[in-house]
Amino acid sequence: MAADRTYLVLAAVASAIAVVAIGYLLWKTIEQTGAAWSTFGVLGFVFGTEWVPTPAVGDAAFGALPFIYGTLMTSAIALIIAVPVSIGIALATSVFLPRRLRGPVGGFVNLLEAVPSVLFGLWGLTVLVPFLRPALDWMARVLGGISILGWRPFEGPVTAGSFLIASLVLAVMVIPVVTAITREVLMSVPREQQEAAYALGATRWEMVKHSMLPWARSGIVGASALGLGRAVGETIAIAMLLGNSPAIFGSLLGPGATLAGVIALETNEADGLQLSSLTALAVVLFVIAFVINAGARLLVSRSEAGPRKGLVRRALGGVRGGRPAAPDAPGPATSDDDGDAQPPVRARTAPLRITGRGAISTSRRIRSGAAEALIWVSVAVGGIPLVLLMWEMLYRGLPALSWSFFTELPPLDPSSYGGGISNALVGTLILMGISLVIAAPLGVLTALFISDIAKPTGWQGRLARGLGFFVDVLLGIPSIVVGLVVYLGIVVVVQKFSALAGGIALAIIMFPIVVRTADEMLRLVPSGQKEAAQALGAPRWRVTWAIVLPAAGPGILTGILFGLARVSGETAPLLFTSLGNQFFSTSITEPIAAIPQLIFQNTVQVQTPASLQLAWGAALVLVLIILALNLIAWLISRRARPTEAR
Amino acid sequence: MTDDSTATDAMRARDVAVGGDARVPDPGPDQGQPDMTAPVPAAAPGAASAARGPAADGPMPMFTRDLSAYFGSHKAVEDITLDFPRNTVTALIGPSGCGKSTYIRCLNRMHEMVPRARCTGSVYLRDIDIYGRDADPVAVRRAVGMVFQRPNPFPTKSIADNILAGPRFTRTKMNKAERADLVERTLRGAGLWDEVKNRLDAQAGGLSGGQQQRLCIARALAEEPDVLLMDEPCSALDPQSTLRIEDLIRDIKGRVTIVIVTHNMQQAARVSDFTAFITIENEGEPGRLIETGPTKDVFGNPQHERTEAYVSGRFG
Repeated sequence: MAADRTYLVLAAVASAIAVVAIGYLLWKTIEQTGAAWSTFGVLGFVFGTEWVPTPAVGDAAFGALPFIYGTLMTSAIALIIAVPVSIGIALATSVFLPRRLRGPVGGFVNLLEAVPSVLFGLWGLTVLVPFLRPALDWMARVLGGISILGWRPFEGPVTAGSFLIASLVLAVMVIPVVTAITREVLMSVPREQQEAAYALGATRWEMVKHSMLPWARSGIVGASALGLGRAVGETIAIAMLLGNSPAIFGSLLGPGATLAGVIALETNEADGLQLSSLTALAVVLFVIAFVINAGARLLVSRSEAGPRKGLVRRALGGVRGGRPAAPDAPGPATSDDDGDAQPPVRARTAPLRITGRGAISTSRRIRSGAAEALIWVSVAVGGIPLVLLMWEMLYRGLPALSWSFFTELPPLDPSSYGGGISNALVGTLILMGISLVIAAPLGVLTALFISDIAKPTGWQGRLARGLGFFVDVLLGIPSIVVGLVVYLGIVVVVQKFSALAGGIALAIIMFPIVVRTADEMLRLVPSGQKEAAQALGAPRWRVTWAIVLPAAGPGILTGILFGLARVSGETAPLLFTSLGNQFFSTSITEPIAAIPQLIFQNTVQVQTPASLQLAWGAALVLVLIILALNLIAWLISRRARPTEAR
Repeated sequence: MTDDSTATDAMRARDVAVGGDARVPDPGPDQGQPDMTAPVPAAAPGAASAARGPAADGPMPMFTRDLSAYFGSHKAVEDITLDFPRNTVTALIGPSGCGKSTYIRCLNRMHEMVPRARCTGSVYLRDIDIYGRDADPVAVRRAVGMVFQRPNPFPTKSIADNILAGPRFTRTKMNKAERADLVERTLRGAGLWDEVKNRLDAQAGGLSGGQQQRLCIARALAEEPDVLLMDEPCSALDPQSTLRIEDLIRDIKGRVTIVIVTHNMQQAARVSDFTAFITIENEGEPGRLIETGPTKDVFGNPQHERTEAYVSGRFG
């Protein structure tokens, strides 16, 4: 049928446009790296330890190792802090909290995933750094002498930006990610498994330890790996807090630099070999993030299928020996074996004790109690910074808000108070609009192609599978890399920063989010319904229009809103695409201001009391926008789920 | 089966115990039930078993009085008063949704694990109300074992570790030989030893459904429970495995009091000594106990029309 053909072609073409456009940009990016590889060689570049763009004498030198080190080090420290805390919070919100509180607290943690990274940077720089300074000075004094194979991790002097500070903030940012997935994995542990432990007389902690954790182990590893993927790609907060001075095995109390951070800070002024080297750094970052994300997804999807042996094989199952019998262990126990008629199943031999304190031994009480206490400690460790951040934002942001805050431009003199963020507010809305207009239709059509129209075999099936993989890859690209890709593919080519370039960068981030959620929602539409409509003689496009879209529509809309919320807080991809603008502009071909970018600028480049006040006010507005989008998305998804159509 | 004098004796004894000091683990033989409070040192599990007959006479090891169970405001079971005589098998039969599973889950305080679920009335284990203020649900569950509809071994633990899970929870001190002995003894008891003795270290998830269920029974028995609850233990199994489980029930009933929920009336007739029939009389009402007695009476000479209709297959 002609109409069906049109539908198929439309969906296929939309997907193709996305692939070709992004593919073109990626190709321009890869092309740019040529100079770096040919000058230093791949290994020479990756393992080069010098990064000297403008040397006093001699040639410039570019090597990736200090940034790889900085990226992995900050991520590793962040993960060491975040994973135990996240497991604790996930356990609290799935087992230990009163049932009524689990949902709201879990939802609060989920929501924190949406807090933009620039806000963490602002908070870290203005609140955490001064607050922790005395503690860090003390660490340098007391632990400064410690040396591990010549590496002195706590040597002074303490600098404002440092590995420890950046990693701490990074940990706070990663906790919501790891917690959300771990919680999901824990809640997927079947009831029967939990009941098995309880029915044997396990305390809550013993149930968790013997029944839930073994089942969820590989899922938790996967969640941690996804957190690592997020940490590795994190740009803005780290760029604000790490001090940006490349160093390998310097003090943790001193500065460093990460792959994402150096790209964010140097790209605008770079050209020639330096730009090529920065692009090569982006490729290195992409590869690291890709490997981590691919591994993580594999682990998470596996764990949903049930328990597996973890990565770390259990050393020994079965009847383990080891501990010798305690001295007061009964010698006469063997006398049981004397009687030939010894019954294989015995009646109770120990006294029955089910009441009072003696019912459960003291050591069990202590162990279970200590484990629960640790869980509550981790809730506090994870929750307090997040609550403080929210408090700080209200405390400092609310006084900045006024009518003129929304209608006036930022003051030209950074030291004068007053003014507003009208240009950034309008700019953010325009950028969101551009990315919505591009990403939503392409994303939905691509999802329709993948899971509604494409036949599983032939060119359609191959294209659908290829698209699925492509979307997964896009999901894992750090946003700073997207910014660089658009910079090289569009801004450099047309020689102009513009709102359109910024919007395209955001659209590239939003596109895979839309496809993934829409795809999931479409899959939830029961195939029986589609077949029923087709059996009645409806053409394929009509089935989609009358059956599939009404059922999956709210879910797809939710996905679009979540995507929009996510990109509205992005800073990194805007730094060298839409650039920013001191003045009011609504032209999509001119540079344009955006709230996250204004916060970044006022915190890092200007940093006066007046500019910080403006930044806190802007942060509050940004978070309110994101909250509103999330709230609408949540309301829609609550009202209608496709499964209701069953 | 409803031996009222025994029941009231037990209740009186319990009142004394609670009124005095329920935390004293050894109320002493002067309560009139020497066997149930025999002062065996906790540190010496198994030490005194040879001295004690496995099937000593005594009061009902478990009985319920006016037990009602709720899900939120919905009453699922109403006022069930039942005795489970020592070392016998009692079958609970009744149509789907009559609340027999809910009832059995009240007997080891598993019912309250369901959100908004609660129950009223009392359940006595020997002379102690397991819903008493001082009772600890964790300890109750150790004394009252449970086997579920779907086999639920810990799939990543080895077969041996599954057996040892209970003693590990209670941190019972055992040396290697004692552990090996417990594993072998319970697996033999569950008729599983010959099938798994060469792969005790293999993951339990690799066993067949019937083997998994027998492993679950063995795991529960390893805790030496007073009462073993079985909630439709064969409903997920093939006929062959079902017969093996029934053999197993007959094997162990001399040493443990068994309460079994079943949909299968032939099964109830084959394995149980006593039968209790629970049903919902009208839509929306809670499940109530209609009739109880020796199995041969309930099936051969039912006193109530409803019971007769159900056991003869005319209803339910």
